[in-house]
Amino acid sequence: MSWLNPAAFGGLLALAVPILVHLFGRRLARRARFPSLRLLRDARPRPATRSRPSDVLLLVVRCAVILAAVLALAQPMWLDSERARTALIPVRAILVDTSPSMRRLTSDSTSALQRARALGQRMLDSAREGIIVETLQPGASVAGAASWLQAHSGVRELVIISDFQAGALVDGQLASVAQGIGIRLVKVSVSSVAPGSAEASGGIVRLGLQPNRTDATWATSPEDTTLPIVVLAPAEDAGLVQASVAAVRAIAPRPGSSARKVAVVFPRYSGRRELAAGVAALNSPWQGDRLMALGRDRLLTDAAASARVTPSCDHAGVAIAHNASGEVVATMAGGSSATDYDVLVFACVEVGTVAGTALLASVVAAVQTAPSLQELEPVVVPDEALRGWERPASEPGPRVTEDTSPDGRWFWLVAIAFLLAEEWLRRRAPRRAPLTATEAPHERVA
Amino acid sequence: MTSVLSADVITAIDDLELAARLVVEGMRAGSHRSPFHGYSSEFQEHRPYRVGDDLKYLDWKLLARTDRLYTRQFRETTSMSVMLVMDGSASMAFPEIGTSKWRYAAVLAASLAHLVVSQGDAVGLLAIAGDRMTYLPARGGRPHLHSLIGTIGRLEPSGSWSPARGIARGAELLKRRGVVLVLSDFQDAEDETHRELRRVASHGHDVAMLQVIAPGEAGFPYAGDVEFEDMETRERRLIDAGAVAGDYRRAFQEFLNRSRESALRDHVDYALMWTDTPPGRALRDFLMRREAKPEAHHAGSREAS
Repeated sequence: MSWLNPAAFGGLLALAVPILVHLFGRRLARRARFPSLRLLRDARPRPATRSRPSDVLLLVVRCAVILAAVLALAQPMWLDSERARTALIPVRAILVDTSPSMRRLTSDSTSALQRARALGQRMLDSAREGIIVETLQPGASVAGAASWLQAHSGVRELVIISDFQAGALVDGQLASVAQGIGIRLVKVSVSSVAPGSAEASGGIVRLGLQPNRTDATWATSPEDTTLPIVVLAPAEDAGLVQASVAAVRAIAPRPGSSARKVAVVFPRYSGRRELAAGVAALNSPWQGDRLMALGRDRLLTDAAASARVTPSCDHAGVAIAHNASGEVVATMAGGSSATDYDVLVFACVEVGTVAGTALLASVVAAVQTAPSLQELEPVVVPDEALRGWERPASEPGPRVTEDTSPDGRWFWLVAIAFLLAEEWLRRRAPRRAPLTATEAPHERVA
Repeated sequence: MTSVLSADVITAIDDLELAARLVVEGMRAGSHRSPFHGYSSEFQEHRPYRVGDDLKYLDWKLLARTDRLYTRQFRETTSMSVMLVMDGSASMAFPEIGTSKWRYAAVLAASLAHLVVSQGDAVGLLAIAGDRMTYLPARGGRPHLHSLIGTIGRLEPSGSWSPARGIARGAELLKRRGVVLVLSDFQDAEDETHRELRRVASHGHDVAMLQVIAPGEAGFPYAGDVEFEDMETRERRLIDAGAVAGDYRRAFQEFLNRSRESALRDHVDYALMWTDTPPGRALRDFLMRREAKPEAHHAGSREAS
């Protein structure tokens, strides 16, 4: 059983009234002002037997009247299975942030908005009833969603799905949400900047989305840049290398520069055996970073899966890609003083193949001094603040007509029955000190 | 029988003067002669008429016989004086709900004053309420009546009653012999009250005690444990009212009998006024009894002379 109006239990304090009346009521004699006491004989009141059974019964009945009234006011709700379900499944108003910052990518390379929509749909499916509101400014839409929730009964919850960029939601906006309505803030974590580049005439423009501005950088011509890696391939494959590099430029239009010397060694390169012999272990942190970056690179992984590995490919170092049958597609090793390179990537695919080109592009992407993710991340509302704003749905809302439980009225009937019983008991009890007693007959002296 | 307004109706009228007029008009039918006349107009001698004498007193028979103008002179040409002595002690405020003894006494006093003034006599007031003594000398005339009734209406019962200050002083303040009407419940200082009444009566005044009693104090409608508070002394006593009720009613009846008997003995006119009796009827009964036995209220003056 649950109570729609538990505050009514404060009314139990009223129980003190009949109890006090019982304890002190009989002790207090009635007061009467009388013209003169000189004709009144002194007669000490006899010690009254204090608690006759009828008095105790009267007390119990009076307490029961109050108890029944309080229970009725508290609006009890018997929970049968069907009602329990409706009462406990929340009604949700889901606000999905569609601001530009949501176009950034999440860790699984879908955009934050897509993920937010999916999450929203999932939460809507698990709700008893709900709406999804897509809004550019979730904070400004809170009031509307809250009033929609107000009109519903049962457990209610306001959900905001956003990346919680600073300014998307401020403290005061949640104040309009009535007490009892839960607030859940779902943060979509974003791991990279939005893919925002476009080719412009005569150059390449790259767009970077910042919290409060959009950065546009451009290069006047693709030839301005050179790849920050060295491609080691047999001389007869020079044309293929050229084509691959052009392809890489198309994938990574503006490769950055790197202070490190990185070489990609293709099979059939004449010095490959010597290089493989002279490698060292990957021992510096940045090498580890690059290794991780390559391992995560989906372009490389996807391309490698279907790659045809060059037979009898000797390699050295840590494998960074395998094909579908588990053969090593590429390895990575640290360079030594003997090799003249800082990092060596040994490819087991031919230059000019899809996998080879993908490898080149991946290595270019991995080795360039990438701006740290932290810097690209727009300023977001700190998680602690979000947690502070969240709250569970506590009290169910007012019940609306159809499913209003009439259970409370039975208590009113009980209270009325007890009241009648009280009246009957009181009438039955012997009268004491009636105020309007009929006058005793007195002789009139003419 | 004329219709008589009930006590509740009369005492509920806020305007005491109006209440008095209603009472007096209601009882006029039964009363013919002035109940207070008989003292003042006694022929003494003839005097030659002088310009300015009231033609009312010209002896027309003598004029017809002798053709001379003589004026009849009386020994006492002034009117009779009535002094209303009112007990304004706190006990008169009983009962606090309904018609209090004080209100009833006030209506009686106002009606009597109205009656006396409308017969051309003089009426005075001496009321004692607590420490305050209110005195208006006996005079006739409408303006005086108006202010007297207004004074009664403004009084509130408080404190206790002193017979010496009330009865004796009231009689003293009547410069000549007259009528002293004492309105009280006579609950305080019983012996002293009767002594004073006796003394005043023996001085030649026509004294009447109008004992105003509420049914509630005689009937004692209480039961159970009641804490009684004396309205005058403020003394409190917790009493099992049911146990003493019988004794009290008996004691109260004895008290009333005592009052009546000592009044009879002292040649003091006595009337018991229940506050639930229409004031008009109570007053008419009282006055008609006075008319019926004039010797009773002449007794005092006879003894004095």
